[in-house]
Amino acid sequence: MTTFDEVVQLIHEKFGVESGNLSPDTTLTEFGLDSLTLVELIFAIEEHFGVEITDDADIESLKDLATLIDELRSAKKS
Amino acid sequence: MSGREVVVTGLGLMSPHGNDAATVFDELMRGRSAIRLFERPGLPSAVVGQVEFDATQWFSRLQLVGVDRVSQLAVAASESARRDAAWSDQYASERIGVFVGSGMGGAATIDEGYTALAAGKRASPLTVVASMVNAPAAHVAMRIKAHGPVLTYSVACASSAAAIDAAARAVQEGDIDIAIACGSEALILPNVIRAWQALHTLASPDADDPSASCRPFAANRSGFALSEGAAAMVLESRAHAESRGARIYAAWAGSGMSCDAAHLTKPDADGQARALRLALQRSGLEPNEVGYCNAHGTATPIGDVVECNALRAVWGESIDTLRVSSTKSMHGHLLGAAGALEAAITVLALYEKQIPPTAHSHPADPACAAPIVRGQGVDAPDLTAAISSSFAFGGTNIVLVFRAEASR
Repeated sequence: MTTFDEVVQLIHEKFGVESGNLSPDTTLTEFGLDSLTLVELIFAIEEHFGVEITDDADIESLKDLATLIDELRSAKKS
Repeated sequence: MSGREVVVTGLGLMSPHGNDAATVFDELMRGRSAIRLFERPGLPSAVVGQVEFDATQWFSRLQLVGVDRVSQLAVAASESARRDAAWSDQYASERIGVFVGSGMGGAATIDEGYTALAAGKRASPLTVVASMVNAPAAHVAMRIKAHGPVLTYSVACASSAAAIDAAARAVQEGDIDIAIACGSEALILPNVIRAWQALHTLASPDADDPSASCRPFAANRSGFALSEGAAAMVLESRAHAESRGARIYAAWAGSGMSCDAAHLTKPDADGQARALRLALQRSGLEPNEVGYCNAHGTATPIGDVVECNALRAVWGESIDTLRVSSTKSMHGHLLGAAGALEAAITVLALYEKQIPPTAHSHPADPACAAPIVRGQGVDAPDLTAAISSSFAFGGTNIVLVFRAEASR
């Protein structure tokens, strides 16, 4: 499973958003997240992937989010 | 009484007996208890009242993020009350107020947060906003788009009686045109139950019939059953209600408030009597005009005696014209939501001209010397006024008075 697929699965399980409605280009606000639910999503991502996403991270789409997670994980391994 | 007359035009319940007001009242009249045994590993057995509640009927999964059960129940009860009042968009949003009572706020969120921290994990970033005690009121306001006063009252067991009083006075004084007054509580959690057990106020589970464990005014009473739930009522001016052809359940006649200022938990007959007298005075009623008292009646050994003494002190020779019951025997003690649920039951008693009973109240305790309705409910065709008493830890006493409509 790719990181993107894992993110989609997490969003589906946590927020009940249908996986079919989520593509790599879907923006984080597009499926109904507001500033509070976005914070909760980032928290869930951090817990799930064991990474820490800083407040200044440049994330617009789910693709950006998956890429950042991969970068943080590989940085952690090295 | 000065100002506008205030009437109750909608009721919404999320209660241990269910969510339909007529069904709940019918169950109470039959003396049926919704209290059940609650057992978890490591927890001494307890009896509690729980609500069958499907949050997804009221919220999308996304909307539920960061919304504690206490807020979910408040929104569901308030929305139900609004539908019951058949009130849609007749009112300007800034003339709508929301007044909510809750004792503990988001107990499950607090519990989860501390559990995570104790296990060396992080607490959710939404812990604060989900658990804050005014979250239920804020969620109700967002749901119904109330742009007027949105306030929370946390006065332990009298929280939602305080909310109803404040809502009624805001309508009476013309600050707003319509209000939702709601009580909500959701603390049926092992850790919370343990804390209450440590205080020795909870009923000992009846081995043969756990549903009969709470026995107000009975000689063998041992305390109350903790319960969860929410109850809401719509209050508006009579002129507005009549102009839109709304069904009127009853009128709010007035309230009385006092504080014992003596002890955090030990009730005081003088303090309760002051609230009762003030309630009658504000409502323009003589004791013999009030036919029903929905008692605080928590079934603690001391509380029930003190309450009966306070009623006798105020009613005097007229005590036999009053009928008293504690419906907590059947729905349990909803703490911050108790005042609202019991006020709703009092309003239904006036509307249906029927008085619900105290269940499991035998053998009677002669020290509780008041005319208690026991076992089954009774018809009361002449019932014109009724009170609902809420006496809180902390010493605050609140008595709400309602009047029946002349005819319906």
